[in-house]
Amino acid sequence: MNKSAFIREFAAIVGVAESELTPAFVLSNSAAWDSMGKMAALTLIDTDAKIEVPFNFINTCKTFGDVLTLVEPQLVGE
Amino acid sequence: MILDIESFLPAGRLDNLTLAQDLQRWTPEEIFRKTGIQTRSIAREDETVVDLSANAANALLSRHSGRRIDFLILCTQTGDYKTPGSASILHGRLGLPQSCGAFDIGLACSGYIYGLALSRALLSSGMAKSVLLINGDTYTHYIHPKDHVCRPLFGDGAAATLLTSDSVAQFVEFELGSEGKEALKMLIPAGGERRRKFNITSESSPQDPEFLQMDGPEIYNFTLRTVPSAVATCMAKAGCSIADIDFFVFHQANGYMLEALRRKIGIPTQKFPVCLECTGNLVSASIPVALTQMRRAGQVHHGVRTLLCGFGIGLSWGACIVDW
Repeated sequence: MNKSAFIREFAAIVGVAESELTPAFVLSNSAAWDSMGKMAALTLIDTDAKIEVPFNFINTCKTFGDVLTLVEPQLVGE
Repeated sequence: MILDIESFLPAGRLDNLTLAQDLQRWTPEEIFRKTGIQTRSIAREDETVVDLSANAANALLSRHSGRRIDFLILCTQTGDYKTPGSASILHGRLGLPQSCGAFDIGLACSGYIYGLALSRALLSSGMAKSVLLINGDTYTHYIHPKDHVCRPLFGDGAAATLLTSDSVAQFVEFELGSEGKEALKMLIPAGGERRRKFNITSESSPQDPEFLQMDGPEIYNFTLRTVPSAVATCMAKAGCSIADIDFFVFHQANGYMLEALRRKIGIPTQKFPVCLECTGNLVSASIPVALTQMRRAGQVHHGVRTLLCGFGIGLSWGACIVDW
């Protein structure tokens, strides 16, 4: 999965426009960042992007940038 | 099969002099004559069966540092929590590997013999080369200070037994039995399902400690990480692949998680029953309930090969292949 596709899918999960999903975006500002939202994000990262997520990672992510620190090095292309 | 045994007694003591003063019923000498007991080992208020068991187990394992433990069985009736089982917590405390299964058995005074029988079954079947059997309880936490019947009798402690397939001491025979009709002759009436110790009121909150707490995303993450691997390992051990399995019957946790697992493992939809629509998550009953429905529907019958996989609290997982 490339970075553009990841951002597009993640934006859909948190219910914001792609342009709003900057590294500084605070995840808890989105009403969709609840238990189901986190599980959807885990599916995107683990199953679709095939990136293993460490235990307790998703709960410690405060911003989209925190998510990118894990996934960006393993995404293929822009 | 018994290679080694170790025990741990907490430091607290209750002697007959103190007991006589508390109960105001007998002299210390009378207590000894009635019970044969001079002093009892007593766990602190904050000392639990996992604490006692960890002490016993660590002392034992320090003598067998190179030994891999395949199963941890904890026999207790005074576990740390209603759920998860205390064996799971002890597994983490002891730093045992993920390949080590861990479960509680809920028996009391006959529990060592039952534990030995289970251990022998695991060893004899070849499912394990070593089993760490722990027996422990903190009964004194459930005895009223004025109880003149129970308080003179019970103490707290734990023991760890290491059983291996290559040790010299061998079991010759077992004799086990039950008389369930008399089960309520010795019990703690409240705290279980028959008499819960809490009520849901308008002031209750889902975060109150009496209620089930679940970190959904972390459980989901754990499931995505461990279940595909367990399924793959189980199939590899059996020398088969997805094509050789007729049905993958998983613990019916929730529809979203099941679909994610199906996609990740690559199981065709027609081989992956989802049966929780009318029942919800039935915990350990979910797989056999699903199998019951599939048998009634004629899907599971002689000649069918199924892979069953359960996962969840512990955190723990298990998979097996059944040829019907």
